[in-house]
Order: sequence, then C-alpha cells, then structure tokens
Amino acid sequence: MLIRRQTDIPFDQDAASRQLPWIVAIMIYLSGMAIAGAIALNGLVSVWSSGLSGALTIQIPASAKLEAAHQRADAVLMIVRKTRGIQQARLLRREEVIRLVQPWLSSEAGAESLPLPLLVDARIAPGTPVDTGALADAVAKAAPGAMVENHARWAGRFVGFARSIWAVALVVVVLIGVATVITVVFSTKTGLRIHRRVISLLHLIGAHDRYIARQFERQALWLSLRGAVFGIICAVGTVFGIAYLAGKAGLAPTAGALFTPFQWALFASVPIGAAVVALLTARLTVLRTLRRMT
Amino acid sequence: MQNDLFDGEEPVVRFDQVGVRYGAGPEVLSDVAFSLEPGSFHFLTGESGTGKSTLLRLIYLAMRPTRGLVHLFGHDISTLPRDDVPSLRRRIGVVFQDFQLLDHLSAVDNVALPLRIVGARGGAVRQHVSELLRWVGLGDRLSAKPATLSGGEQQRVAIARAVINQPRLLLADEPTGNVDDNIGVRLIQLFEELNRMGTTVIIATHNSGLVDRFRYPRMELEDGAVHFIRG
Repeated sequence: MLIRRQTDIPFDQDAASRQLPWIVAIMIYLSGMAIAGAIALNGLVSVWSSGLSGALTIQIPASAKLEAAHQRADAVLMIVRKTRGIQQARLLRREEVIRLVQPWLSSEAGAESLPLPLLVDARIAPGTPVDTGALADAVAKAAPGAMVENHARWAGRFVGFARSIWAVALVVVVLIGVATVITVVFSTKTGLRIHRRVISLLHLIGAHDRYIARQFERQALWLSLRGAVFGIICAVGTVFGIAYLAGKAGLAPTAGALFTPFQWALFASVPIGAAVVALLTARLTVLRTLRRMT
Repeated sequence: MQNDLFDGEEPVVRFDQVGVRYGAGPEVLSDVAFSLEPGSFHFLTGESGTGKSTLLRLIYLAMRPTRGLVHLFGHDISTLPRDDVPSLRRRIGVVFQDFQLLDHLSAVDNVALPLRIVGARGGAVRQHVSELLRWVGLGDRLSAKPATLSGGEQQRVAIARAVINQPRLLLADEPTGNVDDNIGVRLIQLFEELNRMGTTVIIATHNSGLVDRFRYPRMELEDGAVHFIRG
C-alpha cells in the first residue's frame, strides 16, 4: 500500500501535497492522545468504582459512654447483617478508624484523643440491590444519629464523570476528523487548480472524472497514511513515556498493561480510518469540483 | 453510450450553421456548414487567425459553438450527456499545436497515456508504444523527458500519442511545424497509413509544399467560412 505508482498528475510539484502529511500527523497525534487519555481515565474509574460500588459504611456517633456506644454498634451490626443483600458486615477496630483519619491529622496522639465515631463496614452481594432507605430508618431507631453512606452513589458519580470524559474525547476526535476533512478538501482543490492544464489534457484524451479522481484519492491515501502512521507512532511513544514515568513513581502499570488488546486495536485503527476518510474526501471533492468546472 | 458510436453511414463530422465568437468580439467562425465522410483526408488551411484552431477545438470537444449544431459520429454534442463525452473523445486523436506533453513523464509514458486511460497495462502496452516511437524515429529517446527533447522530437511524441489508439478521427494542428521536410513527409505517410485503415484525418497546416505534394482536398478557412477545394 505504501509503494507508490507513478501518476499522470505531477503531484510532487505542488506545495499542498508536501504539507498534508505533517498536518495529518499532528491531527492523528492529538486524536491518539485524546483516545489514550480517555482509555486511561476510564481504566482508573473502573478500578475506583469496582472498589466502592459493593460497599456500605454505617457511622455511629461518638459517645462519652463507650459501653453504650458499643451496645448501639452491636444492635446496628445485627440489623445490617439481617438486611437482604448484605454479604458480610463487621465493626472496624479503633486502630483502623484512626488509620482512616490519620492523613488529615498532624499526629497519632491527636487522633487517639479525638472522640471518633464507630464504623460498620458492610459488603453487598454482587447483583443484589439493598434497600438503603429502609436500612437507614432501622439503623436510626437502634442508634439515634447513625448514618448510612452508600458508596454506590459515589461510584455512580465516577462513572458519570468517566462517561463525560469519553464524550469530550469523542467530540475532540470528531472535531479533529472534521479538521482533517477540511484540510484534505482544501489540499485537493488546490491540487485541482494547480494541475488544471494536465486535467484538461486528460479529459481531452478521453479520461473520465473517475480516472482523475482515482489519481487524487491515491495521492491523498498515500500522503495521509504517511502522516497518520507517523502521528500514531509519536502518540504511542508518548503514552509509553508517560506510563514509564508513572510506573517509576508507582502510580500506574506499564503501558502494555494499561490498554486491553481491543483498546490497542482501536488505537491502531486511527491511522487507517484517517487514510480512508482522506481517500473518500479526495474522491468526492474531485468528482464534485470537476462536475461544476465543466 | 454504446460502443458502436461510429456508424458507417453517418458523416464523422457535421457542422450546421455553426458560429463562434469569443466574448463580445466578432464571430471567428460564421455559418460554417460542412460534413466529412468516414475515411476522408483533408488539409485545413487558411491565414493565421482565420479560426483553424477554433474549428479543431470544436471537433475535439474542447469548446461548444456559440450557435449552430456540431455532430460527431452522428451525435449532436450539445445534447450529449456529460458522462458520454469521454467515450467520444477516445475515438479522436489530437496533435496539439503546443504538443501538451506531460513534463514529468517519459516519452513512452506520454505516448501510453491514452492506453492507460482506457485501462490497458503491462508489457504489451510498453512494447506497442516503443515500436511506434521507433517508427517516428525516437527509438533511442524512449525514457527521455520532454524537457530534454528538441521541438521536433516533442512533436513526434505528440503525434505518436495521438495515433496510439488508432482513432476514428485524427486532428492535427500544424503537426509538421517543427520538423524537417523528410520527417514531415514521413509523418504525413503515417497519417495516410491510418487513413487507409479507416481513420478520418484533418490536418491544419501552413505548409503549402506538403499540401501540394500530397494533393488531398483542402478545407480553406476565409472570413469565418469554410471553402472546399479539391486536391
């Protein structure tokens, strides 16, 4: 595909042909980065939401009377364990609660002296809905002031956020695609003007518009594929570079593990898609322009 | 359009009261009316500026008349669907006065252009083209680009390109203008050979020696009208 045949139209002589691969390379690089960013963010949100969506936390207010507070906690624990859809529940030890609040406090000693609430951690059976409203009412009766925190709500917000980012990435890719189409249209129309004499001769010798369009579409395919392959290689290189730096900082796995095979295939399809879009754009531009010219 | 465009009974070219003017200027051609039978051979003569090139341009479909009707192979070109024009043009070989060779292509590739346009490819095409170029005396310049060829050599490449497809109608605008008399005679003999195979030939020329030597009928353009003179 990358081997060129000699064309009747001397494309090598026009500047528009020389610039197109660079413009396409930049477009494809930006598309690649938008897609990579969306995939990476989607992966992180999946990890976060899978950890949160299957859990509930019940917070029982701190009390000066420790024994009474523990009695209320035991009552809550019983209610939670009997609730439909709850797989398991346990009362967090005080050290675990201190560890949770520790990042926001200056020292462990400070946390020890604080009136910390008691926390019940509940795990929800996969695929089983929990009536959190009824649970909250029952818990409030057993331990006034107790609150049920449903992590699924947080997970839902993360998923919504991820979907928004996907939508933004999609809009970016579509806009880049539109910009690529406009660039190819401009480049093709410039080529038609520059090579008007040759095109006129080809017509006089008996060439159909389709014959001339084929020459332009092959040229557009060749130039855009060259630019697109270069652009996607740069984008993959950037992704590996970021993944390497993130891996060194202990923030993310390697780039190879960052994307699934399907996502890599999506990545690889970008230059092919761009080349096909360029080919079709060139064909339609030539056919429409020639029909108007004569 | 069907492939049997050429109907032996129909004139190859017929002009009915054709007039041509450029912009608001006077008519270059005025009430031109004639018809050419298949297999005929004519010289087109006349002073410079009398409209020889315009008449040829009308026939090879590079322009439309301002008024009147032009029929080619029995088809009125004013009602011819756009998609059918290429099929008609492929039956016409044209030797342009300014050659119109493609500078980036070799002599072989320039001559092979009409064959490529109809989809012919491969070694047989190259061999056929090479033989024709050898015939017009360019056997040693097959790979030469037009810029490296002399005016006469370029003219012969242009002629080879016009005849490579064995056209039904051959139009030549001053085809011997840049070659010496020997080559000129040889080129006219090539056109005669095509004519013997059924090609209708019209040669626009100022070369009165050539016209006198070959004694074919003349179409003399004068004051925008065509007069036929026997050879």
